[in-house]
Amino acid sequence: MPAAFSPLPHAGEKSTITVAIAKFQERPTTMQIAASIFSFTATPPPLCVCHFPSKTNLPNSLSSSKPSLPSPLLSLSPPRKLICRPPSGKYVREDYLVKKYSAAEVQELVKGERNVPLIIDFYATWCGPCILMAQELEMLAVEYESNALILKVDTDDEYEFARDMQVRGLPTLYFISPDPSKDAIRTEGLIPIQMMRDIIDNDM
Amino acid sequence: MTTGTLQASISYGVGFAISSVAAPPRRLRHRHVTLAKAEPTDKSVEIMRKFSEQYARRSGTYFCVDKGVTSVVIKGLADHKDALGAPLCPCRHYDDKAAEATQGFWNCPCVPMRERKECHCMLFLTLDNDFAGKEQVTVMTNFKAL
Repeated sequence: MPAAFSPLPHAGEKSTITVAIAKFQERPTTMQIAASIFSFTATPPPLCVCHFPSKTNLPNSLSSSKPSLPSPLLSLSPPRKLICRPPSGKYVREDYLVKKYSAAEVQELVKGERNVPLIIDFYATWCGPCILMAQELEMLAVEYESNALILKVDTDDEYEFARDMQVRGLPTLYFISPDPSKDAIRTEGLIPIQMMRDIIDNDM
Repeated sequence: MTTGTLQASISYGVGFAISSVAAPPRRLRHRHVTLAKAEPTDKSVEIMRKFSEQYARRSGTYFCVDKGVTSVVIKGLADHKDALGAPLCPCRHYDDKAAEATQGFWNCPCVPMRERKECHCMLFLTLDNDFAGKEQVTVMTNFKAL
C-alpha cells in the first residue's frame, strides 16, 4: 500500500504502523519527525505459547526412595536411546531475555559506549499487541544473543520518559544504532519479526 | 498473506532528547497521574467483555486468534473504566489520561474504529486481517501482566 507522509502521528490517523526516522544527536534541539504511515497487514507471528519444557535432567527420584526393595526393572532397564539431542536449557529460565529497564538506565545505555544496536520496546500493562510484540522480541533476543541489546520500558512506570520520547501508540519500538551518526528508527504498532531483522541488519 | 511496502522518509532537521545526565526529578506529586492498577474489578471486566462481544457483532468484526490478546485488552478497558470512569484505549500513551477520557476520542470504541474499523489494540478485527479469528464471543483468560 502506498505510504503517506505526515507529521507526528496524532489523533485520527491510522495507528496500525508508523515508521519514523529521527536523527539522533547528542545535543538535540527540537524534534521533527517525518512519519510515513501505511496500512499493513502483518503476517501472524508463530502464535505458539511459549512453554518451557517442564522436564528436567534431574535423576529419577524413585530409584533412591526404597533401597530395601531393589527393583529389578530399574537395575536392568535398557539404556535410553536419544532420538534427538535434548535442548541445552540455555534459555530455560524464569526471567525473560528482554529485561525491563528504568528511564535512567536507558539513558545511561544510550549515552554510553556500545557496539551493538539498541532496541527499546515501549509497552503498557494492558496493551494486547504488546504481548505479541514481546514474544517476537524474545525470539529476536534468542536469535541475536549478544549482537543486539533488547530491552523494554513500561510506559505506566516511566510516564515522563515515554512522553519525552513522544510515544503515542503502543507498542512503540526504537532502534538505536551504535553509530551516533546514523538515524534512530521508530516503529509504532505490531510489526513482523522479519521487519525487525531487516532494520537491525540493514539500517543499524 | 499480504505485506506492506516499507517507505520511510528521513528527516535531518532533528534530534531528540535523552535529556541530561541526571534523570529529571519526578514531579508526580504536583500532577495527577493515573497509572494502571494491578487488576480491574470483576464487574468492570464483565461489563467490558459483554460490550466487546456486542460491539463485535454489531460491527461485523471478530476477535483475535490469540485470546490472550483479547483478554488483556478487555482488562485494560476495564481498568481504565475503574480508574477514569471511561474505557480509554489501553494501547496508547497519553499525556493526561483524565483529559483524554473526558474528551472521548480514544474512548472505546474509538473514533478510528467507529469510522474505519481500525482497532490497533487488535480487539476488533475485520475478516481480512491475518490475526482475525472466527469468534465473536470470548472467555476471559487469566493473563499475567508483562
